[in-house]
Amino acid sequence: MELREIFEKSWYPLFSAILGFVIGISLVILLGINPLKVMAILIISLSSRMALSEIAVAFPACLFCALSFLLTFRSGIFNFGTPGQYVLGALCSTIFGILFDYHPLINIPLALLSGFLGGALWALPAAFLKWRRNINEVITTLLLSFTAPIFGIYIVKLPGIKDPTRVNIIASLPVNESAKLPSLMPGVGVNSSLLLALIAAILVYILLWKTRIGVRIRATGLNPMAARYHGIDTDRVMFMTFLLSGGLAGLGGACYILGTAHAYYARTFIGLSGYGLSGIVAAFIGGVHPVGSIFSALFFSTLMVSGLMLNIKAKVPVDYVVLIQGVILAFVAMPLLIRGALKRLGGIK
Amino acid sequence: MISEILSVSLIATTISFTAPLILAALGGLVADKSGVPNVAIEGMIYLGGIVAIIVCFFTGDPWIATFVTAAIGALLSYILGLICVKEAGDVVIGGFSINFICWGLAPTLSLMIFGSKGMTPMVSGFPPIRVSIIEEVGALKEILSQTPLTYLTFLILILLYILMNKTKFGKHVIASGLDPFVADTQGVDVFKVRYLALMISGVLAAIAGAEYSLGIIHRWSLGLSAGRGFIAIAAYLFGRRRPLETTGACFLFGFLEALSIRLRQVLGWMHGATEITQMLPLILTIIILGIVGKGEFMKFAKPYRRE
Repeated sequence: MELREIFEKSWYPLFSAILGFVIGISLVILLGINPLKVMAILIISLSSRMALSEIAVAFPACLFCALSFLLTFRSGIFNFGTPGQYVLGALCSTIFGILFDYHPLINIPLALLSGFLGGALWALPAAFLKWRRNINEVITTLLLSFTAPIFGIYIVKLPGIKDPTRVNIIASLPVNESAKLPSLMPGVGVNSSLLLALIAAILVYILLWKTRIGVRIRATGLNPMAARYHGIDTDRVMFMTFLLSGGLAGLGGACYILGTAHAYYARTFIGLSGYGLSGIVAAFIGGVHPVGSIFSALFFSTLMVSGLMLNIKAKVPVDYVVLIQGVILAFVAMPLLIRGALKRLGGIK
Repeated sequence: MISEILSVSLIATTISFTAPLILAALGGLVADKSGVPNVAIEGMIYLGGIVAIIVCFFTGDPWIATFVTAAIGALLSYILGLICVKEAGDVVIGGFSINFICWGLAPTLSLMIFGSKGMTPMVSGFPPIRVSIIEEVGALKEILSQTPLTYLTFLILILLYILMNKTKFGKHVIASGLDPFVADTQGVDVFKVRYLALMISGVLAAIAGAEYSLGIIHRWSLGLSAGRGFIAIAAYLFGRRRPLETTGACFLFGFLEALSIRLRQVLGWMHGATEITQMLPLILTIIILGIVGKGEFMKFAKPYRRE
């Protein structure tokens, strides 16, 4: 029942994703590059072993960010702080991984937890202001997001965390061996964060649709007034969801550090670029549903990796991917247009 | 040390950093008043900054660069209008799609044209105006030696005030923001008014971007806007959606920015001074919003669709 519903509704996002992708790719004409060539490069390079392992690396971070965004979206909040919370999660888990060295069975969960707490901490000001003062969360989360990478540079530059052997780039010391996530397929880069992300998606699904808390969250998002009449403390629900969402984005950052990068490189966390933004678009394309997000996160991690491939083979900058995401998001914002187009194509209502 | 920070150049820097904020914030205010908040100001500043640099680099004329930038801003906000006005899309999602496009396009252009993703080469841009009459008065000379765009900003400020308060268009903007349904039945073309309001906001935001790149740092870099578009939105929310208060808020945020730049120069020897001073305006904006803001006025309007 539930699954059927998702796929029925996923016609709109799917259609807008395809439309946005095709138009986004076609826009490379403006840069003087043949879009057909770009498509050919994409298909060829994505079937390579290296690309597949890159996708497996990007996927968990992207999925965590998507889950983070959709959780708050379900309770009626736009959490655009996902990029910042992701950065803080990465930062906190790096610090933990450098400073502590217990047995892996204790150390890995604690490192992940510190990532979770870091993300939640970065959501806290926005959540608090939303709760207490009803401040528009779009503005506060974004200002926090812009602050996060700068804060990251500040922390990584501190003695004891900065890697003194690296002179040219700002990077932290590598995390201890005991904090690294175990690899699932040695040599390919596929690590257990993949499993963690999938488990998280299922847990978010259960939380939203199989528990009382989930009912409260969704009721708050659908109609806060009605929810309040039914005795739901909507402000508290929003606050807690906000923190949980920040934590999920933080886990994404932690997974990226502990699973793949093993150190905090300041240049991978510049501005708002990265998985935080992809996660937001992925959440929309996934129909703002955890199960749908698994597929859309796969799509967007593929898109990000294809951006890397295009950069190598066709000299299209990596950032071009963000533009494609923007075009996709533009179509997401126009459900009426998509519905009209689908009706004209026939059949689907 | 305090006397080092509080100098005449602090006032001058405050003015030059306030001017683009005023443009972006008042433009955003017009769009917001018409009922379609422009969340894409950030992206428009970002892209406007690089377009201005590119045009100025190839033509050598900052004025042509400013006009082209304004045209790009109009085009972007027209697309935003297609999404949020014509198709009645969600303003936040629609605005962010434009933001994403700008965030993706600007580094792409920088890499394709100048070969460097993070920074463009220096461009001479606008030289500051020299006021010859008061050459002798040192302090006043420094304060008044702003770029022509800064002077233009204050001219636009007056024009915008007249437009919003003394003309029919201004009344239509407010009417279509207050209740689009009533405005529509009273013969106001809500859609056209909203398109125009969005385009005013887009043009002004793009010019603000040109002001940052051509007038202040003379190049485009990845951190050109760094949240300033959202600070502009915060400014008009803080100013309770009133033009005068918004201008005041812009001066406050511009002062914070100038203060942080001054602090960076004074505390340069300290560990992490650059980062702390970069974070300062953003964090203070959040704190100020937290102290003064409350209630329903923080909400964004819903799109209007004719039944």
